[in-house]
Amino acid sequence: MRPFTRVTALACPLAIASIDTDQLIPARFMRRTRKEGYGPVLLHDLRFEADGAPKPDFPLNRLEYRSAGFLVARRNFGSGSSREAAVYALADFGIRAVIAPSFGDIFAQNAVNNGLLPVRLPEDQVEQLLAKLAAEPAEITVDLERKQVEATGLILPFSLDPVWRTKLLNGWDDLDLTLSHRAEIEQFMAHDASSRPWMMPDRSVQPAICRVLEQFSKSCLRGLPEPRPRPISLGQNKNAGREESPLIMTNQEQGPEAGPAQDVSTIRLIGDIARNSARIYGARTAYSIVMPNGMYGRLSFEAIDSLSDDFAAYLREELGLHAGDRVALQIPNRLTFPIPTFCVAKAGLVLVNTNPLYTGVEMGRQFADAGIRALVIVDMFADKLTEAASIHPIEHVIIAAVSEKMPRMVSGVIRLVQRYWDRSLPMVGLPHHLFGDALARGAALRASRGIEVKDYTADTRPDELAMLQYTGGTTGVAKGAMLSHSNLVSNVGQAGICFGGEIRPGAEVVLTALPLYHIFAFTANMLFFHRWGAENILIPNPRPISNLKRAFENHAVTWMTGVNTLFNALNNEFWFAEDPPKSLRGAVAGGMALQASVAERFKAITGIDVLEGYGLTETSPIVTFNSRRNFRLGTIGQPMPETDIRLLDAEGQAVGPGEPGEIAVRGPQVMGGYWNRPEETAATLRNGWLMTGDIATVDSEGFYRIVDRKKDMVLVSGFNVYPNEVEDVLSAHPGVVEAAVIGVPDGAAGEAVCAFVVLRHREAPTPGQLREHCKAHLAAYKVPKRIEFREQLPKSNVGKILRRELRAELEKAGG
Amino acid sequence: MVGAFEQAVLAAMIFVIMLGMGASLTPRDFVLALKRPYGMLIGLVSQYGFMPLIGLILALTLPVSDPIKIGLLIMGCMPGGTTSNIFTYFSRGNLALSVLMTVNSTIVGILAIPLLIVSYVAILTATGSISLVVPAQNIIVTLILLLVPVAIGMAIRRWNANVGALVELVGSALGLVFIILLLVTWVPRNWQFLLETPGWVFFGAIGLGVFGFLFGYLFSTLLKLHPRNARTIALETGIQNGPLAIAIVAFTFTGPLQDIQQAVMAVPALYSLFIVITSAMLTIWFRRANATEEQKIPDALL
Repeated sequence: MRPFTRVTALACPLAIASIDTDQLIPARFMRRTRKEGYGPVLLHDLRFEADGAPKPDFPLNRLEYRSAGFLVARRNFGSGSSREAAVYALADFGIRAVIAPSFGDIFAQNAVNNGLLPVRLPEDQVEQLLAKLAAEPAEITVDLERKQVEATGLILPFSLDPVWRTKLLNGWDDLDLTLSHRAEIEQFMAHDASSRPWMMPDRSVQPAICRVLEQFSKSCLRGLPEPRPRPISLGQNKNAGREESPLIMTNQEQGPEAGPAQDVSTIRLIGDIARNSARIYGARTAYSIVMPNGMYGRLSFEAIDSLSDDFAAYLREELGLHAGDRVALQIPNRLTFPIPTFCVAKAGLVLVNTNPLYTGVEMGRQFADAGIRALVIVDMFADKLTEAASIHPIEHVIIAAVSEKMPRMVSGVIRLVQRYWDRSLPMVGLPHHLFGDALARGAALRASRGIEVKDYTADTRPDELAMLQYTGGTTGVAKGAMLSHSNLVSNVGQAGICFGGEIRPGAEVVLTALPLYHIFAFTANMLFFHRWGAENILIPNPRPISNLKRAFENHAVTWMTGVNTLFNALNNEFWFAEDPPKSLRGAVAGGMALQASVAERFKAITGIDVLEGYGLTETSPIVTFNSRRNFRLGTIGQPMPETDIRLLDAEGQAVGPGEPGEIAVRGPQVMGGYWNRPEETAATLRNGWLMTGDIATVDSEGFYRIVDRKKDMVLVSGFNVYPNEVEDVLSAHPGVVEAAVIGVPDGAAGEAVCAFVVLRHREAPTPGQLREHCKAHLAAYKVPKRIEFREQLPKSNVGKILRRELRAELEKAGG
Repeated sequence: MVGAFEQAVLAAMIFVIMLGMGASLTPRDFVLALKRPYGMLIGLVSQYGFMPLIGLILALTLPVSDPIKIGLLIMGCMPGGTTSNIFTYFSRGNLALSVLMTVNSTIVGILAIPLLIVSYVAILTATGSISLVVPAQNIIVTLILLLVPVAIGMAIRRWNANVGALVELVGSALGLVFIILLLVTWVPRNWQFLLETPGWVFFGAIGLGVFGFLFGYLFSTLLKLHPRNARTIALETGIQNGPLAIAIVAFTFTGPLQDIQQAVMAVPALYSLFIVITSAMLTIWFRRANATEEQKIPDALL
């Protein structure tokens, strides 16, 4: 590769004061959504033709081909946590060099690694150059040999760091032009401004910024191909009336440390996450499993990538699975979880996560519904296979040992305990393969047949089905939500923006106590933190909670995710409460309502706000989130970037301000539908909006608060009664331990409010007294007509009172 | 009588047991113990308040010979045994608490044990119960030497958590192996002596443990502690460090006191043998109680 000595491009200065922003120009390759003037910027990938076919010999490291613009900055450029993002953003806009008086160190390093040339001009010369360019667009040449910047009639000497110079002159062979993040451009542009026009709530400035960018792109990037068009997804009505949503959007405004850059143009599919992280983070530890006694095992990013490649080869070649076949995964939090996950994605197959604690019948039903062809299951639970297989024959069974991939000594101890003490190694009644053998065989196949695992997904579009995630919902019948690659990848991207600059690539350590087969930990802990090179500490079993003690002691945990019950349990552990881990930087809660008392106690102990979010399996899952910057305790936060939320009443109309309504979601993370259930899908997805079945309100600053579940609402004479509200009032009575409220059919009034109350024995009130108490706090129609007393209430293993069980009880008893 | 070879084996076993204890610790655990004197205090009161007292009362009241009285006393003044951790684990108790209490009592014991033994022996002498001199300095030396393997164990854990966990496992298991060894070597050799031992000695040796369980549980319940923690403290109080007592007796009653060594050894040996049986019974009982109370964390989020 001959060294570059001259870099020539058209110049397009982007100094705020000198641009006339009134021209609205449809850009070559920037598109807007119809969002009242919001960006986003559509990414395009110059390596592809307009119709999506890859350019055969696109030479990535030939600068002149990519030649586009220069960015001239008045002040120091690329400091702060946006440094990485800025590089990718600029590269994607086609900017090949940045001229500034000084650069942030890490930005400069990243820039050089990614094909962006940082050129240092003293401030006064920058002003000269800007003045020159303001008068007319000029051709700027950066001469690396003579170290000068030439701009028609202007010659300015610049300085180049010796390290960069060596790299440049030796040729950039590993250029990889990747992501883009519009917020970074905005951040730069507002850098000079005294105000921060992009921040909420003044949205009127957004259009101006977009226009500037468009103008820039138009004048600078002439001669470049049109962007690759993106087809509409899955044949469903998901985004009807809206183009395939680009993956960058700042619906949730962030401050200067806006999110880490998104590898979006190279991360199209889930498998790309593994490849990308392996390339960047290589030998770092990706997953550590920590047993309650502190014993651990590890896998690096490279290992995950290559092992998942091996397994992919095995599944496709040896077992003969075809693209689109379903593979079920039934493993708890073990090192063997991420390997099949990424493998299935890389092999173009569809993943079906299965709860390892299911009974054989439940397994069989789920397998039958999904139509699985292969199952990867952990040996501990293999005894249920025969029963499951009697409902749906499983073609290929692969057994993974509990201690797979752990150091020999540790797995030796574990196997001893399993075999002789727990006696939990059941006999497997079906013909099966062993995971270790499968990996070895896959590796051999790859080598002997020269298989490129990338070929399996060469034609896969991001909107193709990647995963069937079964959700029981509250009806009790499990439905498979169809999640595509782009659903999950988008959610990871959105989460990246939400976390702002808080995630340090390659430096975080996240504790995963929640089950990975549930969508929350799957996306948030595994996909997201894997993508950012974090070390994942897997806890196989969070019961009892002291199993986490050694993990906290032996590893400097910086992030953790949890549910209310987990945080509450930690708060009550003396070893956590007295001596909280000092390295902890953030905690994320989801899955169920986070009680304010629990969050406050956690903050008192650790000093960290628990960031609560909300989502469903059907939305990959994150819909709203409390980021650190936009945080409000007691709410579920604001919508994720690029996510629209509307609150609808029973007729499907938007409710008035402050009124409760059903949450309807639209966004790139929304599923394509339920597998094989057209009526359910039609009921849930309407005109591209997903009906969540949760009622919420929103306040004036855009923070949402869940009120109740829609199906639990009681309709009394046409009035809505929210059980949560009545339960809170009842529980406030000193004689009541807890209460549950459901609706019962009541002839003329439609429904009546029926309360089940657990009393404190000492001060048992009468039903009449309870009703008086309610009347004092509630409107008359909300007061329970019928009050029943119970010793205890049916609860899920999450601690949520199961209203549906109470309903069922009443029905059985004859209403 | 304990010969030189057995002494060496004993020393090695104690070393490994202490190594195992060290491998279960981090420096933060000490910080935790200091920060939370209330919890530590409960453990220390049980361990160095009640147990020595029980030992003293048994020594004062039971009609047994002087060496037996000393044996009872020494046994009562011992720190918590590492086998308590195993039994706590099986009873699904608060393992973290048990480990912490064992560690606390061992560390504090370096000062407390010689002090207690000397003072209580003085009381016994004063009341005319015995007329022996117990060399306290040997005891101190033995105890200090215990710190070395604890420190090494902690270092091992720091260096490699897997090796540390293995060492911890081995150390705890060794406590049980010790009992078996005792059964196999000491009992046959001292069979005649045992046959001649009056029943009161057995009562004392077994009673020490049982009364310890009782007091530990009652004390915690009185303080309104969570039942699971009360059960853990009960186990912790009753289970003393038998191997350590034997080691102390073996290394203290040497030279001119060698003759009474066998008699003094009787109580610790009998205690160690029977405590396994009594703890196992208690563990089974506790396990049922604890299992129903276990904190519920979801394995399926609905």
